Amino acid sequence: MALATEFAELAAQIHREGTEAGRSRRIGQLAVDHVPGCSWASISDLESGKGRSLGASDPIAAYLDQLQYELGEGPCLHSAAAGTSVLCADLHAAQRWPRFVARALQETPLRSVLAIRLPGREAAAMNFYAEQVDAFDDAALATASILAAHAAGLLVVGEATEHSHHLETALGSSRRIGMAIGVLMAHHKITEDEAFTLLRLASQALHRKLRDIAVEVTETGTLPDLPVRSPVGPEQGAVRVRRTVRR
Amino acid sequence: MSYHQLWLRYIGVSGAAGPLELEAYVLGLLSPDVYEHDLIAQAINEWFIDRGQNHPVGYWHHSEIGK
Repeated sequence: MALATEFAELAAQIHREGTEAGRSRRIGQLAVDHVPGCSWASISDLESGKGRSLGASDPIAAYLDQLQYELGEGPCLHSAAAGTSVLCADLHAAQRWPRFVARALQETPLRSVLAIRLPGREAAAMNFYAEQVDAFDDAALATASILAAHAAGLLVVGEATEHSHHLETALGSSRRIGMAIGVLMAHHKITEDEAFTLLRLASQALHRKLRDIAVEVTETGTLPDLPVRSPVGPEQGAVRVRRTVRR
Repeated sequence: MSYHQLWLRYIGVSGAAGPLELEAYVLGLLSPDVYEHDLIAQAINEWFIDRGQNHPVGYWHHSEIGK
């Protein structure tokens, strides 16, 4: 029942505003609290090509993730790549991932591990690490699978949030450039294309982004001063913008 | 840079085409007009600015305005 309540809270948390890190940490902590035998937990997102750990419940979990990314082997990578869940009940007896096993046994108290691929994700897994041999029974596997499904949801929410943030930033920049184009069109009696080209030439000559030039134009009403000769090369060096253009 | 990242940068420099249209321009399935061409060049160049390079991608308009 306690777990059902926690899941209900977690679902609410996902849709509430908050950081991805906070939500992930919560899910890692839920794993430690509610998956019998689990000592530390984390989520590994391997979709960008290199590993990224979220929601590590403990520095040891983050370290074990990192070790796998560095060595290019381990239960989490195996699970994400093979699209299946991986259970290693006794690290001492493990034949796979010899470098990871050797380092983990030597450097940490890890003795068994469960990696569950996140459903619907291409390369991501949730890792459940344990200090005991044979730590995970069927009940633990069931609870761990539910948590992994929530973790997959967290990644989707995180991506949607990130996407919306990027789009918001891009639209803000676009709006500012539109304003600057309007200012230049009115001031110089030029077309929209020509105003854009003026901004672009200034961006090129000053080695600054178009948005930064646009901010200056909207704040001062005019283009920033351009160097007579730019040191960057013959093409850019020849660029000079005449302030008064065709009428 | 993914098509999506390019599209976000393109929107950020005041482009207005949708992601599929932009991809079609990049793949050569659609021909951008001069203005669109320079918007796309600017979007790519801003990616290079973030990496310390100064506008390696050429624009359609090379010369000064107003001559």
